[in-house]
Amino acid sequence: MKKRIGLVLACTLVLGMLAGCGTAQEAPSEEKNTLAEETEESKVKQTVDNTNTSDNAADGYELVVWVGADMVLETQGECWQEYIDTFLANNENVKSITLVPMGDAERLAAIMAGVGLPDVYFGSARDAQKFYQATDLLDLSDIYADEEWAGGFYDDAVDHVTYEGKQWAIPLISYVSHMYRNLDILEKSGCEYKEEYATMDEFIADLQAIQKAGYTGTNSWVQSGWYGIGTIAAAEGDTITVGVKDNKTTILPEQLVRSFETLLEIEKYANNMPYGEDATVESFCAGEIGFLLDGPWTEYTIQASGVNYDVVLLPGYDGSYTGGVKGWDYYYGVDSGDADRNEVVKELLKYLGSYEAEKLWTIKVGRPTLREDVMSDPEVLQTMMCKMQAKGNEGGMIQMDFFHDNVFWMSAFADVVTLVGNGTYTPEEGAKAMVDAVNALYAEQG
Amino acid sequence: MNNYSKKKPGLLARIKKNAACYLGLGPFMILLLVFVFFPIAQGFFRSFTDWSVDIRAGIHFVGLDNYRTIFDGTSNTSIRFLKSLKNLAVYVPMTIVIGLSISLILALVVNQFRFGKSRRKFNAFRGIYYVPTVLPLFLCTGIWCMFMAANTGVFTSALNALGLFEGVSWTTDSGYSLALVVIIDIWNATGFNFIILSAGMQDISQEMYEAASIDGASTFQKMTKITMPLLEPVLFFVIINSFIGALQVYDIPWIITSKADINSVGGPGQVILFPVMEMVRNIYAGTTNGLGRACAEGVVLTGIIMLITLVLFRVRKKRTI
Repeated sequence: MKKRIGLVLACTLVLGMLAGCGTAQEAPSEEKNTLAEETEESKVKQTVDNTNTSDNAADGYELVVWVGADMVLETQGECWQEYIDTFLANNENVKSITLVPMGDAERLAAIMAGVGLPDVYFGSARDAQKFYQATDLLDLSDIYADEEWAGGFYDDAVDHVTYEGKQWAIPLISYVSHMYRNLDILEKSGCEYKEEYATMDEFIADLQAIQKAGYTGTNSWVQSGWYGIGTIAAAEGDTITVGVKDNKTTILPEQLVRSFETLLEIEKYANNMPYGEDATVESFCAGEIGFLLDGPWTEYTIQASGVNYDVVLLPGYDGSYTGGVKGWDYYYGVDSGDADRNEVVKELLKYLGSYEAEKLWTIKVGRPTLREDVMSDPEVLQTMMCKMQAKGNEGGMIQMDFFHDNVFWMSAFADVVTLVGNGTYTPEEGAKAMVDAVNALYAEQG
Repeated sequence: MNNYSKKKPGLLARIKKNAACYLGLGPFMILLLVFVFFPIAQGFFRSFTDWSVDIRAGIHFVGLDNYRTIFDGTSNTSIRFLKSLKNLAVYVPMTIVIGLSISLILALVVNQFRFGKSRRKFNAFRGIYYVPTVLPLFLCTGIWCMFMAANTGVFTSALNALGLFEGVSWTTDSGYSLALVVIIDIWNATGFNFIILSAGMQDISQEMYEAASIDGASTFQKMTKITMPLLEPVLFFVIINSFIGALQVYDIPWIITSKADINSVGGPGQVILFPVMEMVRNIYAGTTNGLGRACAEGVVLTGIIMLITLVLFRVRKKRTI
């Protein structure tokens, strides 16, 4: 009797496991339809169907797009809702588009696992080469052959999606590192209001005035990894010869010395709160620090706090250049192996990279894009963030040679900057250590 | 006929006899083989290859190249991996000695309330001390990072008001960030070790304590002569468990230091970089041989864990002989 019960239990276990292994690939549309919820008006419906084509219910592609976790919320969600509605209205062979929101790290891990990939995904340009290596990216050269469409992008942007003579992504978002200014603190410190700083000395003078008035000038740029020192280095413009030759960086140590000296100067007026932490942003919102080094993604929080602020770029040294590290984000397509499906995905990508779609993004979300025709459209430059970012796009320094190599050379700053900040290295020693660290990254890359 | 002339049942007969057991264990064994043993074997063999994320590159045998790279002391990977081992060598003894001491002292003290009218206090303390253990690690880390935030954290403000640790960034400064990881880990793990030790103490017969009391033994003498020796098997389990967990530290320092850039894990100057984090960095950095190197680092870490476990068992065996 016991044996029989044992056998029955064992068989139930085995059958249960087998039943749980794998699900039918045709099921997704039903599953995703059940996931589609309109919980609040500001959240996008995560699946939209062309259900009016009842005669073709069995036909039509069900596309899946992996997006950032915040891209289904608020203005970004509204934007995507419009994208989906427009694309489905113009493409009857597409049955649905499902958005899957994911955090950056989760998305990177899932993409690099290379299994169960979507049709399109949103990802950082910094990871472009990794994505190219780890997945079968869709070759978009034929849509870039449309010169009228492709000509609207910044030349740099097209260059940085080109690899081995072909184009592999659609440039979307650009951001430049910048500072938020607490205007009340500036006023109380007796600083004359300037919409932007012409020289580094003007900026330092305001930091001094804020400190004298009893406030803290800024958060710690030394504790901010590569972000702070990278922003300062970007203010050097072409003085720093970024590039690689014979697997070594073309940057010379003497080109970085002034950046480290400026860092130490700024740090005299800083507290010890690093960039990127909630407590640092809260400190700015609470009126404790005059300048917050951060990015456009923090603007929601700062606006919500009610602090009187504006945004400003780090100036160059002699008035001819502005600083700011530039980061970009792209849309990537995945080669499914099905030629017809690939064509549909290319159509979607072409639409997402079009003047209309990227203009909608910039107006609704207030973040700049990499289409020059959009960023020079006066209708687009409505917010101070957009105007500042557009200006930053013209100057600044991109973080790395997107798509052409895997070495995020600026990350080497993170280790060196703390040693310069605590006095272990002089600026000259720090500059040399930085060049050595970048060369070590290139050597590791192979 | 006697037992010595009985034939040993054949293999088929033995399988038939135990069919239900094999079937019951079967699914679990399959899972174990597929998701544990096979990946371990794969990882070991792949550590001798140039495996990378590049799907076009293919996988080729490179012998001990990956092991040479991670130990050569000059490459970026090697510098980071050796630094991670150095951090581990500091972190593991600190967290085990301090953590276990706290758990043991708590268990010894709380155990005094086990009997009679104090039973309620005993149950209450057990619940209170176990609460941090049930919290997910990401939550523990987030809470402590808030408490220790530079300038604005509750604890940092209190410490600064007393003139202590002024100007310190607990998440980025060398030494202090390691201390923060130790604090968070101990706070999270103490409850679990306390419960295990407390359960072990409950197995010790009350009569032994009564007999000792009759003989005039003090509380301290009871602890050292009765409790500790009889608690040894449980303590050994807790030590082994803590060692294995500490050697694989990952969550806490990862949450503290990870930013969008994978090279930033471990913090500036790799102040809280540990081997498992470095393995993950090698996977996602997209470097040549990256996955092969990550496997090599994993094999090295496995070797360290096995060696320490073996030493602990040997030491225990010698002491019990």
